[in-house]
Amino acid sequence: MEISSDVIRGYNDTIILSLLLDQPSYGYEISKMIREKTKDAYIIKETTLYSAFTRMEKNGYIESFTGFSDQGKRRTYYRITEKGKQYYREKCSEWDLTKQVIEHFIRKET
Amino acid sequence: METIQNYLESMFASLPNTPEVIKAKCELGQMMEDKYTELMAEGKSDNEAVGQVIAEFGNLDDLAEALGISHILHDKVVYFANTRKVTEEEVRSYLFDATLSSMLRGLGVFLAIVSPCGVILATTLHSSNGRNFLILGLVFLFLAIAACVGLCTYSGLKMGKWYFLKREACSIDYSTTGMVNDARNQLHGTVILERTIAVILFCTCYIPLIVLCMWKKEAFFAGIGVTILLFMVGIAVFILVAASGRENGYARLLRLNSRQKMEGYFSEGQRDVYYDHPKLQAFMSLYWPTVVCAYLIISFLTFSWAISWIIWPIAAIVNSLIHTIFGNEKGE
Repeated sequence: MEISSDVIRGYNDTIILSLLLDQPSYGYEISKMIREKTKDAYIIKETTLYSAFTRMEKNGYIESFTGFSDQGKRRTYYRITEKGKQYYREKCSEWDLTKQVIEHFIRKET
Repeated sequence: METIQNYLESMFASLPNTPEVIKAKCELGQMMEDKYTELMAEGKSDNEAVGQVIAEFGNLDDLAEALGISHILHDKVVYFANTRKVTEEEVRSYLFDATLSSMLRGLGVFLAIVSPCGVILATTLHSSNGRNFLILGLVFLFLAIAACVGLCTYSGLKMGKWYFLKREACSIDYSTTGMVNDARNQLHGTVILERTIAVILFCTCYIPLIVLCMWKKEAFFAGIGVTILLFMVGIAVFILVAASGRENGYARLLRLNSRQKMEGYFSEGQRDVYYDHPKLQAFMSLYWPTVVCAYLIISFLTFSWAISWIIWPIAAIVNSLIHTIFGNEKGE
């Protein structure tokens, strides 16, 4: 079963911020970690990822800097800011609430 | 990897050439390349890797907000509807026609330049049947001019079906543009060689005449000298007309893509020239026919064929002077 992108859209930022909490990272690595953590259940599109980066950078949740790959190629890296960490915590409690609300309407057997 | 690059180029082709768009294209390219490299390292085949990278790319609607291009994506349907896509086949056929028709036009001009040869030879020939030769010369003259008009008209008609390239908004895709650009760069050496030959012919065309006149003081040899001179000038003009016609064909195709879009490869130089003054515009459209008439009239009235060819280089210089001083290049 595939996840509809409408549902997950509001939490793409949360997913990315959670991965950036551990260490700064770059586009492909983030998409790879998402895939591995979810065991291929959620594969984020490149365009979705890029627009999340630009939006969060504009809001001051993340910062970009130029780094180099192992082969010495230029690459844009992102790191989380204090504002981003705070936003992440807000989103986490929002999710707890959302989950509780939705859970009331999920019946195990119909 | 080339397929991925082409895919990315075509996705971005219709987007405006702004810093945000360039940055996005660059970074998405990095991500796709990283993914492709890793999939290949995992042992996937090239096809599988390319397929997966493209399938997971997403779509431009996701980027609209990030790039500030929502209004453009909205208008995109209109843009595509109004833009005629020129296919690779059409491009090849256009380049062939442009080359052929400029050669035919060059041949026509060549015939116009050498057309008086028969008459010149006949009038310098002192013999009893000089009159018959004169008639032959005149026949050659009129046939050559008729052929010139015919060739120029035919070449014009041949290019008529490509008129839409000038009139309509057209665009060519990334890989075809690359092909045209490569082909044009490959021709660069040939173009230089052709120009050099033409200049050498222009510079040396007097030599046979001078040598012949110094050798024998007879009018007939001067006539032969003038004939050789006209042929050399004719060949030089033929080379220049053919070369510039072909070159313009390439330039026109590369000019189709707008510099405000991401389509890539646009040619900056050699845009269409137009004039603010309507009378000057009208005059310039009749410029070369006028020069041909002036050449023929002056030559026939004065019969100084040895010198009247100088009209051609002068006309060319005046033409580029007017272009530079009064002409405006057609911008976006």
